[in-house]
Amino acid sequence: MGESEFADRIERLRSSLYRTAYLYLGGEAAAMDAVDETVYRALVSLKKLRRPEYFDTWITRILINECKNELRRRKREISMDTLPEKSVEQFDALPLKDAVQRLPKELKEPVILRYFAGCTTEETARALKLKQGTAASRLRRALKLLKLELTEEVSANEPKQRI
Amino acid sequence: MNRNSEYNKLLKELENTPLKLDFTLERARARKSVRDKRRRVRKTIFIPLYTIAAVFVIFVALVNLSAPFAEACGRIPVLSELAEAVSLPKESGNHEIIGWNSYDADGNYYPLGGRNTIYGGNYYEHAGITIGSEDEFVEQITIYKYEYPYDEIWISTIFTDRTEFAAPLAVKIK
Repeated sequence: MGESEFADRIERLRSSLYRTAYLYLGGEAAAMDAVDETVYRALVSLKKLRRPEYFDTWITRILINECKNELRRRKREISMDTLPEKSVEQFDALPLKDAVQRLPKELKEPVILRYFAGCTTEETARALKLKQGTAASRLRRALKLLKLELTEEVSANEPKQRI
Repeated sequence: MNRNSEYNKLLKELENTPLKLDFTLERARARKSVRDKRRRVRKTIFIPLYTIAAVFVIFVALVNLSAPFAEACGRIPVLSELAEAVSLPKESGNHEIIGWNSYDADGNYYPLGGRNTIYGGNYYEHAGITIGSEDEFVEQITIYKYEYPYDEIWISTIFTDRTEFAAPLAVKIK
């Protein structure tokens, strides 16, 4: 993949990357930093991408890793734990954005990619290295916890830019 | 507000991306350009420098640890001077004094000299060197036998102007 194609892809994906990072990290500045770092890392390791058709999945993984690193850094400073799946009432009491952030990790990642970044279930599964069935099951569990009535395949207000 | 309308509101909010996001690629390119420049500098300056340093370290190690290598270097004009400059002082190694010129309590002088040294039942021939501690410029001569791994006979000469010269005698062991 050449740099001009890379630029086109980034142009198309940057909003989606930002939404993912924003939901993951919960703030504009942190999300911007994560997107900047992701685009930079993708640019310098572009030659390592063997199959350009998986560019979207590849860069999403870079972003998720970047967000995880940031959360690990933060955990050392402030404790913001995830809530267990059983704490249904606590999830109800939180605004949606906070509730998403405090979902258990295995539920948070699919929800963000599927319902906020605009990935399909298949793309979500691929980005998280999960079987499609596993991803679908986690999405169902997450929607139940968040009390969201969205289908797995069509969200209420599909984001325009898709990964 | 139920969760679905909250979801729709949140999606709307997320559509408003910061202006800074439009220039993320430019920032990445600028960072990459700085990184590439640093790499070029590293490639053109530091890598050759590190290579030269590594070769030098290996050379010093070989000169000091391998007698055949040091001897071979000694036959090459420029290398012999370099090898001499980088050879570590042998006095720091374990050695045994074989002989020296000295005075006894009555002031009798015992000179050290000759073309050979006999030590431990072995005959060591001083290749090309005749030791002469009666020379007017020589104050003290000491002969050392270095232990393994050197296994060499060395001579240390202190001259009357207090300068010192130490060198292997390059002996032949019979």
